[in-house]
Amino acid sequence: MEELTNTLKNQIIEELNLEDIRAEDIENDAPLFGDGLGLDSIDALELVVIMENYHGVKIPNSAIGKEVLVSINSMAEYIMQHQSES
Amino acid sequence: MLSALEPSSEILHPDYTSFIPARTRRRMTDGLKMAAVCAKDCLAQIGLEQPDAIAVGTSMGCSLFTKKFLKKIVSFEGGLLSPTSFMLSTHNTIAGQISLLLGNHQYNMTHTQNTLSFEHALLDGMMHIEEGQNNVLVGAADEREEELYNIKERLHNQDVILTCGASFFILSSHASKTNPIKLVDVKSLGLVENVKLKVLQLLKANDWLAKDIDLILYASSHQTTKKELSELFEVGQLFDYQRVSGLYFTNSAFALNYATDILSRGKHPVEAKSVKKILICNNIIPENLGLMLLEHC
Repeated sequence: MEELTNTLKNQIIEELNLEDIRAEDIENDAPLFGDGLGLDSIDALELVVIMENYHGVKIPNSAIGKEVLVSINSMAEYIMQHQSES
Repeated sequence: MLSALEPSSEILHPDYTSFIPARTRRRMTDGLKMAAVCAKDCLAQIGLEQPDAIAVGTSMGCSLFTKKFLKKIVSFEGGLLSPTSFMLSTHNTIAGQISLLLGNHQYNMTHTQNTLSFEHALLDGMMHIEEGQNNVLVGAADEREEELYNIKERLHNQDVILTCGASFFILSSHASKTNPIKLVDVKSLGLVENVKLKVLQLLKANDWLAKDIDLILYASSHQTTKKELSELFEVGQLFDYQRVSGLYFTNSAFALNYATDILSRGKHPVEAKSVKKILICNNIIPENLGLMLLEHC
């Protein structure tokens, strides 16, 4: 789990060009949108792309996206759950 | 006078943080950041908040993002693609992003025409002035692309240092009281075989004679340009501006900036002569010819 959360943080920093943020600055439970990392709707699409391209896990609709793309932990849990199912 | 570039010369970037908010900056490549900062600084220098139109020239666009986007198409084998890389891989993002950054709702257009991109943007700006607009923001930007070094032997000009840059100007319908420089004419010509003939045609069209011109700023990839120009002008009047700008495909915008500085001071960059009229001759690629005539009013 820890390895996956670190991987996710580095992928998010790289793909979203978060210049001044390091992986250790991102709390596993901190919200990705709003007060947390301050991501926006385009970033939400980037997260969907990261989930599918790097982890082989699809976000089938926006309702699930709202539940999964909340924090690093919620993303990692969804990835682990769906990778084990496949 | 600016110093000639050396192989050890470094590219310096301004402090982007003081010009562009962090959230906006992270979706910008160097070319876009250079263009945005230069455009904002240009407007600030004359105290203008909003231009009536924006026209930008770029040869390579945001090439770093374009490369990133293309690599992802290959590596993910047609899977989902990054929306940010897609948005920024299009050339017209430059004028669009400047417009967004300024909160400008007027016309904006990015022109891409190889080595004549800036000249096309200038012509666009001049047409807006002729149609009654008062102030048009015109500029150019191209970013440093490391891959170009790998294919340098396939570029026309191998002896010039590859660089990058952005230059922006305000075209105005009224002469500046403090710095009255007139952009007399601009030409963008393709399939050119005789540079000397095209220069003569431009001079004739504006009732100028070769002897009227005090300085010729030129860029070329071959000896023919200088040879043809030297048949019209004294060799001492010819100045290869790529010695100070380096090579990027919109460096004629740098030449225009350099020319306006020279006209403002009224002094030749090398010789102790006054300068009131300048011809810029962009012939980086042999068949492409960009010409600009400027004078201090």
